[in-house]
Formats: sequence, C-alpha cells, structure tokens
Amino acid sequence: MRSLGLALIIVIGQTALAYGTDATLRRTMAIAHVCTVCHGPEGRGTGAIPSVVGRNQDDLGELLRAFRDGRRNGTVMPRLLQGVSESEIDALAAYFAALKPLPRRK
Amino acid sequence: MITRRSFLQLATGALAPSLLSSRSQAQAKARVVVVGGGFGGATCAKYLRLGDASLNVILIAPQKQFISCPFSNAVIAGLQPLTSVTHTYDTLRRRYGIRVVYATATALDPVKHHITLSDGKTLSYDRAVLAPGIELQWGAVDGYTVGASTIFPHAWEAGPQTELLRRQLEMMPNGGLVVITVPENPYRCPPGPYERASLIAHYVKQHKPRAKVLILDAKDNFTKKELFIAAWKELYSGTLEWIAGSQGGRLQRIDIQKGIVRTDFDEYKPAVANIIPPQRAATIARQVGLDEGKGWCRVRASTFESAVHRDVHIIGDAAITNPIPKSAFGANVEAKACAAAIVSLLRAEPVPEPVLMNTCYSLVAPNYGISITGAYRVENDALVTITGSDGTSPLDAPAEVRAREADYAHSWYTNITADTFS
Repeated sequence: MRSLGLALIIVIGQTALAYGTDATLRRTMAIAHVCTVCHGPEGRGTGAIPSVVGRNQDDLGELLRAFRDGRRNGTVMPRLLQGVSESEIDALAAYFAALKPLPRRK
Repeated sequence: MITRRSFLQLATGALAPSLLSSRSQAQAKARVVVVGGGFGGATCAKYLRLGDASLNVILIAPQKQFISCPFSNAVIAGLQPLTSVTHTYDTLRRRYGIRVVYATATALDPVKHHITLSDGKTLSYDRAVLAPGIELQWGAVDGYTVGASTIFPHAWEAGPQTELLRRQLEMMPNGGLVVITVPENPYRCPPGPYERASLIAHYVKQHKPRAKVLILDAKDNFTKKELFIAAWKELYSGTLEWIAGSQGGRLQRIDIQKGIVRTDFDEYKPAVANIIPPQRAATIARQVGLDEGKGWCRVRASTFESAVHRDVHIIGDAAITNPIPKSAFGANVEAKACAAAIVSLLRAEPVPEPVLMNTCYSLVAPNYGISITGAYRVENDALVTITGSDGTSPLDAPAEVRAREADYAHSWYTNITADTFS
C-alpha cells in the first residue's frame, strides 16, 4: 500500500479524483473517468442511467464481468466493457464501492 | 491489489496533500492554454486541474454561455427550451480555479509558443490544447453564404440558428415541405442530421400532419442507417423520406431569391430548408499548417499532440480521430486522455495508455432512442476499435427497449454536461 500512499490526490470541494502517481491507481482513474461520461461525475449520476457508487464491491465486480462475458443483457455496457481486464474490473469495483452517494448540497 | 479500504482513504482525502501547498508552487508551474469552450475544451481544462492542481490553466471560450449541439434537435422539434442546452463556465472557474477568457483565438505561433486572441492580447503557453470545433465551409455549396443561412438555417452551431429553425417550423403552413440537406463525411455528429429529421417529422406529424420532411443526402450510407430506416417506416411512413446521394440526393446549389434547393436530379421549393454544409476544422486549428491543407488535423494517438507542431494538442471535432466519431462523448474522453498525457509530459513521466470509448444516442421520437458504441485502443500509434466493442441497438427490439434508450439519452446528457461543466 506504500505506493498508494504516495498517490497524489487533489481534493477540491466535494471532488476526490486525480491521476495519482501509482500506475494501477492512475489506470483505474482513467477508466473511471470514462464511466463518468454516462454515469455522472464520480459515478453519482442522475436520471435513468444508474449511479454506480456505494454498491457492494463484489456485486459490482460480478455485474461488470457478467456484462462483459455475455452472461447478462444490457444496452451498451456489454460492448463497452470488451477491452477491460479482470484486474481493471476489480479495481473499478473497489473504487466505485468506496464512494458514497453524497447528500445534495444547496 | 487495490482494496476497498485504500480507496476509502483516497476518496475521503485522508492521503491528500493540501491544495494550498501546491498552489504556493504555482509560479514555477507550467501554463496550459486551452482554446475552445465545448465538450473538448471545458473537459480538458477541468481534468488538467484535477490532474495537477498547480498547473496554470487558461480556457479561451468564445462566449460566456455554451449552447450544446447535443439535444439542440429536441429544441428544434419544440420538445425543450434552448435554456436546457445552455451552460456557463462559472463552476469551472470557481471550483477548479480555471481562468476563463472570453475571446476567440486568432493566431498561433508554435515557435514562440504564443496564442493571439481576438482582443489583440497574446498568451504564452508551455502546452496548448486546441478544441475549437468546426467551421462551416461557406461557398462550398453554390449559393450558400452567411447571409443565406439567415433564410435557410444550418443550425449546426447551436444558438440563434437553432431558434431560427424552430421558429420557421412553427410558422410553416400545414402541408409545407421541410428539406434537410446532409453533406459528405466527415462532419460533426454523424447521426445528427437523421435524428433531426426524425424529431422534425415527429413535430409535423403532431402539429402539421400534411407536411413532409425530405432528407437530401450526399451519401448512400450513414451511421445506424438500418435502425433509422426501420424506425421511419414504423413511425413516419408518408411523412419522412430519405433520398440517397446516388438517387439524386446530392445538393447542387441553392437559390435564396427563388427559395429553391437543387440536387443532381430535381428542384425543390421548400417551406423550410435546413442546409447542413460541408465543414472543416475551425480557423485556429488550420493555422501554420496544423491541418496540412486538408481541413482536419492529424494527431498522435496517445497524446493528441499535433502531428505537425510540438506542444500543440488538438482534440474534438477539429482533429482526425477515426475510428472515434466527431461526437461530444468523443471530445470529452479525448480531452481526459489529452489532459492526462499533458500532466505526464510536463513531469517528464511516461504517458499513460489512453482509455477511449464512445456512445452516441439518437432520439427517433421522444420515447424512441437508439445507440451506437465503440471502445478504442492505441496500436502502432494509431487508434483501433477493440474487437466486439462496436455495434448498435438491436434491429428488432420491443418498444420498452427503445423507451429505455431514450431515457438513457436524457440521462447521458445530464451527466456528460455535469462532467464537463461542473
């Protein structure tokens, strides 16, 4: 975990996203930053596309694997996950599971 | 292995250095000038600051408000107001410390590392990001000028043109003909003209049922064609017709005085004409040979750095990013990859492998959405589609699937604009 400890994280207001210096963390963030296009900033999107934060880590990992491996139907997720590896799915699930839905400010 | 606990620490900021300490070093830090306030530019500015809070990031936006092309077709069809696709840069300034300058970049000096603005000021940069979008090629269609667009709107840059086309549709008599002309590839938002035709057909079917919508296309093929054609047959039979380029759809000239649109084979006198003209990269991205005289800019796949000039990156519609289409989604993810590359390059660290995906939703009707996807990786400094990632909504699907994708389209818009502007 030492390398994670070195990770550069910038906290600006409610935002806790950064590239970091740890290669695995940086790769995870890069993938997560593409998830957020549809699932909203930090995965806390609104509307019909589900928010992905605060779920059980194992359940989320299994859901992503099931989409990718064709065991679960979806609209766009089964195709978009084609290039995502086992370890990347694990890391994404850990990242989004660690984020909690935020109470609405304002 | 990354554990849930370590992410919790990260997410709660337990390990984070303070923003203040990095700000104190800002004097010595690099300046990145980002040109263009759309999905590419705004996203890049934000993610540069997220990637390195000590960077001096200046965003050059042409106006204080950004009006998006995504969902402007819904505005044209009267489904939602223009304010619903209008965004500001206030949050980017306030929350991320981005300096926003409202101007247009007019010149670039890649040797001196200078960008000149429309107000005459000059900005120096360590790295520049150009995300200026498109420019319409006036005169490429015989008779189509800036003046002509006040009568036959293009509405391919959202704003007053969007409202003009909306007003014309409202004022059009029942029984009027709407003509939409579509150029050859490449152009901004490949499925956009077909979504527009669909939603206009939806509007006239509701409000002017004797009116017709005619697409005059320069091409024989287009994205999601089978899905659009099937949906049109189901929803707009007798209202919407598409004419392929080889069947006489190719626009030859327009005559504003006579109100005529002429193709290879026929002449039309529409009540409303929407001319989507050929396009090229906006002027600033065609300076100093950036487009090699070809209208669009070649870039390196991992960094989106210009293939012509160093320290200048080009993203979004102005860049050649095949197989990533000229979409808002594409511009947003290119911006993030570019920002990550710039942060690494300025630290003399290896550039991370970019993560690039795209999804384009199109509304064929308010409750009928279709989509196309792709995911991409870099191979031999070229972007390639990841096997199995490209595809569309199924041709045969129950109404509930179409309705769900329409809901997803709205949700996508809310979330991508939040990701880009807040």
